[in-house]
Amino acid sequence: MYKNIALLFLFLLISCECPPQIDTSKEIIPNEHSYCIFFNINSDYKVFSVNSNKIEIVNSVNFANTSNKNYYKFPDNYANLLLFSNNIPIFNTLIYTQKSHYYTFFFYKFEEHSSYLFVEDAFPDSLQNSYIRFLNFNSNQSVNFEIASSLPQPIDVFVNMNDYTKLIPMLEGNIAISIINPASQNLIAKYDNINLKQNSITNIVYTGDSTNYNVYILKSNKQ
Amino acid sequence: MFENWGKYSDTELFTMIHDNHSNKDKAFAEIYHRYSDKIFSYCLKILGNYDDAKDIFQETFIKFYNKIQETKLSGSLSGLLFTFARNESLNYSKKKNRFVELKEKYLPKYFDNLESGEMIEMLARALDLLPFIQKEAFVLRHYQGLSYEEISKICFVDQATVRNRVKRAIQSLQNILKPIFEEPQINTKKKVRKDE
Amino acid sequence: MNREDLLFDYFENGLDPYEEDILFQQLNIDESLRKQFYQQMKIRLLTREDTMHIKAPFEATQNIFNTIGISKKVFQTQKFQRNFLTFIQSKKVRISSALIVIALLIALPAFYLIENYAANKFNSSNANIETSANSLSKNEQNYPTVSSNEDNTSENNASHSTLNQSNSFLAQTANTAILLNSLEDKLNSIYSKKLNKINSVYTNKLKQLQNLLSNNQNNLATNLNNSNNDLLNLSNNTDREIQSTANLPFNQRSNNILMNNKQNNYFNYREPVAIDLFSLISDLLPKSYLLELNLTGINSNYAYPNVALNNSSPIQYTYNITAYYAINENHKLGVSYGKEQFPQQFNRNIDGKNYQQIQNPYLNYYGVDYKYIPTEIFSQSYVLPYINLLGGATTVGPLAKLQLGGEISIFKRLALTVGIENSLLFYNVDNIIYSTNKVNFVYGINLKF
Repeated sequence: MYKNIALLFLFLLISCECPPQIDTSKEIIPNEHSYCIFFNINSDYKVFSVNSNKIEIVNSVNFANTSNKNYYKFPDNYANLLLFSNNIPIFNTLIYTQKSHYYTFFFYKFEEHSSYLFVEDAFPDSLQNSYIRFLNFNSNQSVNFEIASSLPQPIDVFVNMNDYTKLIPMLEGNIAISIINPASQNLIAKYDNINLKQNSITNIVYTGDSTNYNVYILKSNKQ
Repeated sequence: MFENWGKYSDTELFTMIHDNHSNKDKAFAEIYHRYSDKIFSYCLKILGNYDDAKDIFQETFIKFYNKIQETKLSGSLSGLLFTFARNESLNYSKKKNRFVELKEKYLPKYFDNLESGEMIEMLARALDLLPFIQKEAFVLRHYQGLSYEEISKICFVDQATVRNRVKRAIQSLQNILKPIFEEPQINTKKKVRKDE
Repeated sequence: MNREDLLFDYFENGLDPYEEDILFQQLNIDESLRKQFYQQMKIRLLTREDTMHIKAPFEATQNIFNTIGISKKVFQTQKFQRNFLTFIQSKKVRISSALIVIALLIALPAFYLIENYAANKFNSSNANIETSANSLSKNEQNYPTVSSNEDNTSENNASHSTLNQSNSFLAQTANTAILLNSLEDKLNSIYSKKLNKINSVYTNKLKQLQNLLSNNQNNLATNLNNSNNDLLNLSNNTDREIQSTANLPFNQRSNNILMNNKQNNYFNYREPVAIDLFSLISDLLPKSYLLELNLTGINSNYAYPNVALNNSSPIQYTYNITAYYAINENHKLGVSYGKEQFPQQFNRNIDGKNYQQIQNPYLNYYGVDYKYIPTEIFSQSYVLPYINLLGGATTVGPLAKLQLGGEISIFKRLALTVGIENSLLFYNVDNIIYSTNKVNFVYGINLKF
């Protein structure tokens, strides 16, 4: 009797549907992983999904989603990075990440073409643990970012066309950012009350061309 | 009944056989289970003939088991197995003089719009027309998913050479299969999901 | 770097942003490069698709293991595992196995019920006989033991005469021939394996019974003939009836078999004291029940693994429906169907990389239930505690449940059930067995009919 029950048990155990194939909400997390965050500032794609080695890492990355976001676990070492928009692959590459390191992926438009920046978030040794990074994806001009904070003097940061800065440690609290044309010293745009929180990165991205520009303030929370 | 041998790493399994451990038979069975499909796939793609591939595949595992005492595992176990498979394939091909250079007369002249399965078959036929070194580099890189570094160890060439061989292989395949690719529509999403 | 190199490196290792920008610019303006882009991507996708279909031939496997002299047992285990797993994971086998499991789940309780019904009927007959036998032995002054010797003959006769007088009821109602055969069969079957000494004791008892009953038949005739005299001697006759009640060695329960009463008296409810609506309705229903339906909602309180998904499935109602057959007042056997959420956490290997997968699917399950109610202890209570065991299957693996709870009687056939249950699900991923353990609060209604 016990033998029959054991056989029935074994039969049930191995003949059944494999749990990975159940059609249900699931999260597949690489055991050995780095941390990546994905930003979509490419107006051609309202939303895309991020996949790697047949696994969906992020279901939807919305265009210009400026709310605070968390990092996703991404397979470390060499791993394929594939973006789908409306079930069509829009981008495919192989990226290298190191275990437990942090990375940020920007998918943007540069001179009417899709482009990307995959950058490691190398947190500098600092007493402060909120960071700011300036990125200039404008195809027309270099810019000066002026940071007005609680410090007595504003900080000027010059960023070349299609270039970006390292992470700049900042005191947490509110700051104001002015974007200035370095040639004419004209103010292009000003953003007040940008709140810098602990353990977060604030990316100030300047995009556009000679006629139009856009500024995205993208935040990510370090885990 | 179902002993979990998946918990052992390749190195542990290799050491068990190498050191004549009491469980060496089971360790070999596990290694076989892990890599037999990959090695057979390699042999099949390299030799392009099922029966030849089967023979070489058998020889590979038999030699691996018999010579394991004199072998040191310096890199990965899969790399070692590919090296065995490669040597066997080369010896076999030398005897049979199977590998031919790519010539115009071998190129397929006409293809209809093909289903995926047929395209895979066409790709295999096209691959068979490539020179050995290109074919080998392409198979190891794309069918087996090995890195340039791993391939360079197996083929005893530097990584730049591997890269060039893969590149030339892809260009040759593109030339051969050009007529098939008239419709550039791709929908990988469905396939990727299905594979999960 | 020329554009072919750029294209190649884009797929192989990726480009730096500057190079990639150049490539995308070129792609945008050059249609032939775009074609090449798609062709290269297609070649890579085809190779990946192709690799998955190639399997090492089995005959080669056999040759390898034979040649290197690995014992056949290891090889055969390998062969069995691989073939078996491939076979059982095929779609056809899955469907047929699901059908078999469902058929088993239905058929097993059915067989069990049939067996138990037969055994139960037999046992209740035995119980009646034993009760009669006990009653007989208790009345030793009326029913001398088999060991009685010749010296006791006069006493025996005296007792017989008393019984002859008293057993008019038995004589008038029982079919003597059937009763004799039945008793003989039962006694033979029960005591055939006993020691000879005991056997002889009961053989003698049987003979005594035969004598007794044959005398009763004679008495019946005598009684009929003497009916006129009885009417005249009413007072004497009444005395005889009183005497017969005092001496009649069977109770109502043992009477059932004599009267060929087939009613299942498992549950004898007390008669209502006051007439109200509930008692009126319950009086209209049969006094006993055999079937029971249990509808419960399941509320999960604790689960291991504890899974928190960012995008979880829409919430569905989790429930259990069980239909029981009452074997007797303590033991019930049933079949269950239910839906419950089972969090799962397991490891997978995809393309050589290890991943941890977490999910929290709603799974349907079927099972066989066994319910035990200790009615002996709580017979007068409005809350009847119970233990319920379930063995069943979900689409991913076997399931076991242990439930402890109470039935709170609303009125005779309707009760509320509340309880706590532990459910344990086993499932297999890549030949590693995982389990989900849950503690649930259950509540519902129980209907008997």
